[in-house]
Amino acid sequence: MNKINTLQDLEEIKKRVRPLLAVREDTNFARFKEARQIDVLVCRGTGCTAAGADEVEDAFREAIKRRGLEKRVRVNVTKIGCRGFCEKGPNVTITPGDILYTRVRRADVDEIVEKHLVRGEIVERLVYVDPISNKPAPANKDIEFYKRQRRIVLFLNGLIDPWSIEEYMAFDGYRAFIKALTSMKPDDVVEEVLKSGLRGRGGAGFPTGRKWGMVRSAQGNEKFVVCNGDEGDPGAFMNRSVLEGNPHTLIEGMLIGAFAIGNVRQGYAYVRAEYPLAIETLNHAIKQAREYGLLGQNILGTGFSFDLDIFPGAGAFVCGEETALLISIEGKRGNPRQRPPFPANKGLFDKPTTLNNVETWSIVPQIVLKGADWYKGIGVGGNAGTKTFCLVGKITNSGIAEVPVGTPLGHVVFDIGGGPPKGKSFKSVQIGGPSGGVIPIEHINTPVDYESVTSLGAIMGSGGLIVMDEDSCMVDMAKFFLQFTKDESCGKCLPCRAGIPKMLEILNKITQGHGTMEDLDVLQELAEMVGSASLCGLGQTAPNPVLSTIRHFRAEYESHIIDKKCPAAVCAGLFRAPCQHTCPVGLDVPGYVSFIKDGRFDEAYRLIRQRMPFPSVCGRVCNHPCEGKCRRGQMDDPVAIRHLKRFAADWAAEKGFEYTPKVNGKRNESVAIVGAGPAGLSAAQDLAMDGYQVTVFEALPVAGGMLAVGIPEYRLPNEMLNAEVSAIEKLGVDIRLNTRIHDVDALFAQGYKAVFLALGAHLGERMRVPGEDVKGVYDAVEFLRNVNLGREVEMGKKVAVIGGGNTATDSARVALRMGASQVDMFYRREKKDMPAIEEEIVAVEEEGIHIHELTAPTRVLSQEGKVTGLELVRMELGEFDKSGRKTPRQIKGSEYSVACDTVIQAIGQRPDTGFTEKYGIKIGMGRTISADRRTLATDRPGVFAGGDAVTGPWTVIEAIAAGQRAASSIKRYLQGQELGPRVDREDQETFLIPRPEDVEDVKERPRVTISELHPGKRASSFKEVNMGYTAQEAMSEASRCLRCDAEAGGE
Amino acid sequence: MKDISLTIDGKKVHGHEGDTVLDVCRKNGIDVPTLCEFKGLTNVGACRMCVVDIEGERRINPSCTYPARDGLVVHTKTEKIEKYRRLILELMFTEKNHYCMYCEASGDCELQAMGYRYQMDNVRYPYTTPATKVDSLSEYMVIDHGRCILCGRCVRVCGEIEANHTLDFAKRGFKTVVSADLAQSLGESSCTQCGACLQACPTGAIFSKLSLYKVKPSECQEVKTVCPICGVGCELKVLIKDNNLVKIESPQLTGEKGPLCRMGRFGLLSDGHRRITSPWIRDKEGKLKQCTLDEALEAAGSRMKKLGKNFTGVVSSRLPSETLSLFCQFMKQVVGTNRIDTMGGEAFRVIAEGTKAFNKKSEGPEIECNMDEILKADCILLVGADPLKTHPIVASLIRRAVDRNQARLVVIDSQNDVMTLWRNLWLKPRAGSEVTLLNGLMNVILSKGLTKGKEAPAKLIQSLSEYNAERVHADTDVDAADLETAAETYAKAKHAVIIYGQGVWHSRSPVLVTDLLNLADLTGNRNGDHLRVISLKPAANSRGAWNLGAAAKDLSLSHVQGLYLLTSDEQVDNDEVLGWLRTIDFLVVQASYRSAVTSMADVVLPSPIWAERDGGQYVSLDGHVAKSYRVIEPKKGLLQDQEIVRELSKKMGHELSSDQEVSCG
Repeated sequence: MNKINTLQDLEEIKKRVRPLLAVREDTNFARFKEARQIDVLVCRGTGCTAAGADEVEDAFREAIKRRGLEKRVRVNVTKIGCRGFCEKGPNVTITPGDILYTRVRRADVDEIVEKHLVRGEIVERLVYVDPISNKPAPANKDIEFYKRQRRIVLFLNGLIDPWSIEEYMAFDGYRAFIKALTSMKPDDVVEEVLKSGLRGRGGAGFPTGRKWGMVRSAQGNEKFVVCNGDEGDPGAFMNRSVLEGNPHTLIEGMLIGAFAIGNVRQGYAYVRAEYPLAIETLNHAIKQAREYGLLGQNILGTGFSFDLDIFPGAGAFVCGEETALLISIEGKRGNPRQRPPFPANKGLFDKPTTLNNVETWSIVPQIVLKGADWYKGIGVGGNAGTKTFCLVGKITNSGIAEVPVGTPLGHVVFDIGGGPPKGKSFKSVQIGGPSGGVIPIEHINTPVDYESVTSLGAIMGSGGLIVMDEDSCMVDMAKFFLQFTKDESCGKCLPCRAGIPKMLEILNKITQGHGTMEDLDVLQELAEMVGSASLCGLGQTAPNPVLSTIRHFRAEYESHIIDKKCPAAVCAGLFRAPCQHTCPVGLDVPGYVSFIKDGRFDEAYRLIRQRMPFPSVCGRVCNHPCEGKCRRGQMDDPVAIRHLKRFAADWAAEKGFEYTPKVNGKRNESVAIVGAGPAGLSAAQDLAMDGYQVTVFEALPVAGGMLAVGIPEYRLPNEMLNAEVSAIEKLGVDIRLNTRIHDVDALFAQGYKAVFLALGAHLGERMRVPGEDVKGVYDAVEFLRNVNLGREVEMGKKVAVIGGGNTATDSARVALRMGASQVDMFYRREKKDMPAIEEEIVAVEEEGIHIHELTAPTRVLSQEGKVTGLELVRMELGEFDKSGRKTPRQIKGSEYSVACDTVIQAIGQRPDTGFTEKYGIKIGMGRTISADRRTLATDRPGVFAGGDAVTGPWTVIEAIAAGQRAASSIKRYLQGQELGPRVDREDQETFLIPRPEDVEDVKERPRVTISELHPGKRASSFKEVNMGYTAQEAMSEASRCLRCDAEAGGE
Repeated sequence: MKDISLTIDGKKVHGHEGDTVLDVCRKNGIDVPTLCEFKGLTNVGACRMCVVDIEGERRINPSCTYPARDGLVVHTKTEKIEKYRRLILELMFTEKNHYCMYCEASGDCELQAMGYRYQMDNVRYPYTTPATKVDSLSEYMVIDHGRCILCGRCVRVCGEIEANHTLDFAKRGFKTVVSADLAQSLGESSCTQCGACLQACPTGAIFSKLSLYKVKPSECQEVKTVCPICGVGCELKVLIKDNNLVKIESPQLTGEKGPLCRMGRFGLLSDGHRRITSPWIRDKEGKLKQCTLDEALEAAGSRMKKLGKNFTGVVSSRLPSETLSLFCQFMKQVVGTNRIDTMGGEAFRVIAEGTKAFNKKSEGPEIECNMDEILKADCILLVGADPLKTHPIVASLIRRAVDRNQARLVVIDSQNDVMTLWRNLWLKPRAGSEVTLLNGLMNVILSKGLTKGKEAPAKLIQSLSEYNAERVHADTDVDAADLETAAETYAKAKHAVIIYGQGVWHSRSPVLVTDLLNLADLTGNRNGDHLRVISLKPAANSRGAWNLGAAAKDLSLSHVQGLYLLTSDEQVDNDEVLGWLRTIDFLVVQASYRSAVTSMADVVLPSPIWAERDGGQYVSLDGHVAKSYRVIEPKKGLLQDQEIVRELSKKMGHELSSDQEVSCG
């Protein structure tokens, strides 16, 4: 037996073992071929083992033996601990070269051995591919996820065999303990830990050194040290990775603690029983430490005695609370007890007890070895050290991340985590598990440290970090955690036991659409009481998810309560199907999709048309938020809802099928609508259907607003738009073109009883750079309008388009069709941050237009009043802004110029609202009209406003919805009713939606691609690019619908 | 205790170190609402009604657990605190099925009272109306979980005072319930039916089947008296209304004898027998028929006179000393006999004989110690006794000692494994070999030099030397290892108590008693004049009876011609005794209930039950004197036992003096 008696003994083991491990630190793949030793490191953490790492390990041993590789080089197949990239497991690293293979199956092993181990070539298909850049990153060191971490707690994870005490010793394991034991005074150790600034990593952040000092000075000649390994937060597993990957560091930390605190002869590691592998590994490590004389009686002959035992927890979350944990070790029901007295004075068996979390104990050896200053130097902004986090949820790279305390949240979520997958937008993180709270995107630059996180209503917690994106509902999230704490409450104190279920009841009510605003007050009051009056940490923090979501996402609650809408389309109690729920006008998507599937196209068309007057327009240019929430999208691709709608509209047009809504009665009041865009016309149709006299005033010579003058012909042919406009006119709506209205009083004087301002946003924003007022610089809105109206537009050969939105892509593609030979787009952020819809960006590039990212104009170059070029500056990304994108900053001195003869600035639009204020109609941000979000009422009674004039440039479907909402409000106004949230108009026709057939086995099948005009043929004409589905294609695509409406509705 | 001063609600107040904030509030007349708190039990801070604001604390804290400190500034009635209390109360009402209209405890419910205090005219949350269970399988008690507020008083009183740990919480969160053992019905569980939980329950969640829906306690009168059953001498608080017994409670629930036992709390109320309300006499056809008192006394008196000293008197030792004394006086002076015994008198004769060597002045149990020694014990030797059956409170004291002092419990019993869950060791000697076993124990102690205090007499050492382990094993079947463990456990303890009971006197072997006293003496288990030995005497006033000498004579079931048996409300259920009674020529029985005994009597005289009895003196098994009181008026026409004895005496031409205490010896 290798009993350690002196520091020298330890040195000798290190000297012997360390060289054998040198190869593992060699990250240079070039040296692989001449390597005399190859280590195959198979991760045997819980995640990888569950995925089959044991088979993989065996397969490696067999394959290596079979090939007799050992005869040529020294090959070791070694179990290593968790590196925290569990989602990709089983993971195998081969050194030298540090090459990582992910998701390795037994069947892959032969290939790896043959190709990599024998021939020295990397097996490309199994290496990690960066999900953002799509580039392979074969070595661990190349992986963004690891690259940006600072691993000190986890530094040996994945490097050493957790079952070998000697490998730990090879990296100075137990050196700190022996140093403390033989050359330091206990007080000095406490002092060192205090000086290091280490704070409890279990979540509360109490200074560890102070805690030790308190227990050291507490009365009593029998004291305990205890490790809290009852990691119970959903989605948190960082402690497990230490227990499984490097158990000796915990033992050493506790040894140092026991020595420093004094009168400690026994320690306990409380590890949850759900961690069998962690318990097994730690048990083995304890046994080894005893064999080496590092645990037990009279350690190193110094008279210091200490032993450690594992106490497996029985699966109660509350046992993570310190008093409950200690009572549980005493063999009683694990209920917390009221503090004070604190465990430091009255802990385990009423003796003074130090309780720290796994991560806290585990870093102690390095602090003692490398000194307090080393540790203190690691954090950011005065926060010492690192913190490990478990990144889970809607995140591309899920796994364990260790970063310096104080690292900005955005850095963790985006730079390490890669942001939400599938390009969804980031919304918030839940930090600290069920006890924590949310941090919304607005605070993405918040440094993750104890104080900052607490000030936002969350807690640091043990390190669970659950990422949420646009598809996460915050009310639902609060419900989830409350359900958890409700089940895990011990039931001892009333506020927690009875208060949490009551809060949950209220949340359930809200998510089922029965909530009231009073409920929200009661909820908040209850939450505050439970948080303040509960006995232990569980109850005190359980309301945090509720309080912090109300604090940061109150609007989302209000949306559930007032509008009966779940913006993320999660709360199934509020809707039939997420697509329908997400559609601003609430189109019955499952209905018409299933009609199309059955070939009943006329019904499909009528179903769409009776809700909304623009099937053809929306079938072409809608930004289809419905598809973003399509359940099928979670499987492969969302159903092509927009294409199907277009198919139905085209089919109707082709068949000459006309749909004329019925007009119900006749009313004498007349209503004036200013603007014949989608908002104005939709309002006009709804009001006309109810028998009102409607006049629409339009400044332009055509009706349709931006649909007519903003969207190019190749996306939306005029004849399609005109047909839908004339259907509205047939209802008796009077559209007066070329009539600009700038006098609201006059309208009332003419006898109109109500006015709807749907002015649109037709003024272009300017770049505000020197030289922009020369010939050849166009404003995109104006440019597109002129082209659409067939006006003369002078077009050069080399065109530069500034901006990244849909107007920019439209302008660029139109410029190409107008005869430009080269079109370049310049965008100040990265391409992935462009606001234009994705298919437009794809089309732009297909048509040969080059997108220059991270560049912004600084000056327009001209000669003789005509554009000759553009001076630009390169941009770099700084902090995150409130939209979760990084803010671009100019790189000084990086200016460059390009030659061009036309510049189209497409950087924003605003409404022309200069006239309204004198009529008592208030103007808000961005020169938009201020109107109530729900009723669209302005400050002046009888005047309503909606569409882009209120929201700024937005989408067609939102404008249509606004028109309908305005119509509903105007009706109520005229009938003397109180205004309120929109009520959907009653359907005129009832449809019998086909029942879904039993879908037994849904196989993955991508969406049916839509035929498009060949890119080469596009530049020469304004012919529609998108050619639509054939009936066959449409039916096939429609059959991909999973009919989740039936599921939710319980049909 | 150090004095400390605090500021509570702006007032300077004082308390002692070790007080909680609640203690200080109470001492200073500051009213703080509480529900889970109960005097004498550990405070747990579960109900949160007593929360207060303490300056410097981030959250509000329960005053019942917060240690008071010098200089603490406390607010007990801020707007926030009162709001939270009301919110908590609302939650409490809506959590379970609190419908006062249908609740037995209505009017006597702390939750309801709290509702009034906070003017709960409505709740803002819907009632949860959980489907809760009602457990009514217990003989005396019902648990309605729907009315439980989970304050945990029952759990704590069961664990800390009755120390039986039958009740605990099961499940967690909102599903938490009070559970007997592993989710058993109370009736099928290890419950001792002490009823302490019932008395501690603040709501109607636990209630008594015997007092159910009778009358509100607030409308009752209270009478305190001493329990007439076993000799532990528990004080009873009897609630009565209109001369009816309603309920029996403990005046000090969390005190030493506080929990009471199933017999004292419930048994005294469960009057399932048919009362005797008038005298009966056996007619010529041999049938019992009702008669006047005069006729009955005439018949009894004339026969007694005739038989004189051949007449025997046996009296129940559940009667107060005054009655016992009068009975003795009557037998001696009027009947002219000294053949007097008490029911269960054999116990005394064994004890008296066995203690002889230890009592210089007189015979009897003065050498024994007080029962409170049990609570201090770190080792208990339980010999031939089953306290749970005969003296349940002693069992409770033993369990408390095991819980609190980690006392080791060694049982010596040839028949039963008593207190199985609590004992560390059971020595099971063959019946009749107990003396050998005790000698063996002493021998181990002597040979290992484990004696303490007085040096062992040479004669004793000499006589014990032959009891080596082999012989003991051969004679008793007890393993040498067990014998050694038992000896060491007992001898090494600092404070060991021996408790023995009916097994010892049933064996009719006074040597056993002497041996037990020797064992205590050898190991220094002595407190002044008293050795730490306690005998579980059979009845409430056994010791009182023996002080009067009423058990001196061993009648040994010998043939007697005439017997005056005053059983009052004590039942005779010993077959051997019943058989003996049948052999008696002329039997006069004075009893409260009809029974096998009264049906074989020649003359039956009516006797009041315990509650109707005039007060008197009781001497507990450890010698404490207490007074009993009449609780209700006797049934119409019923005379007190003493009056009947006097009347009988008059019939026989004697006037008994009223204040003369007569020794029966």
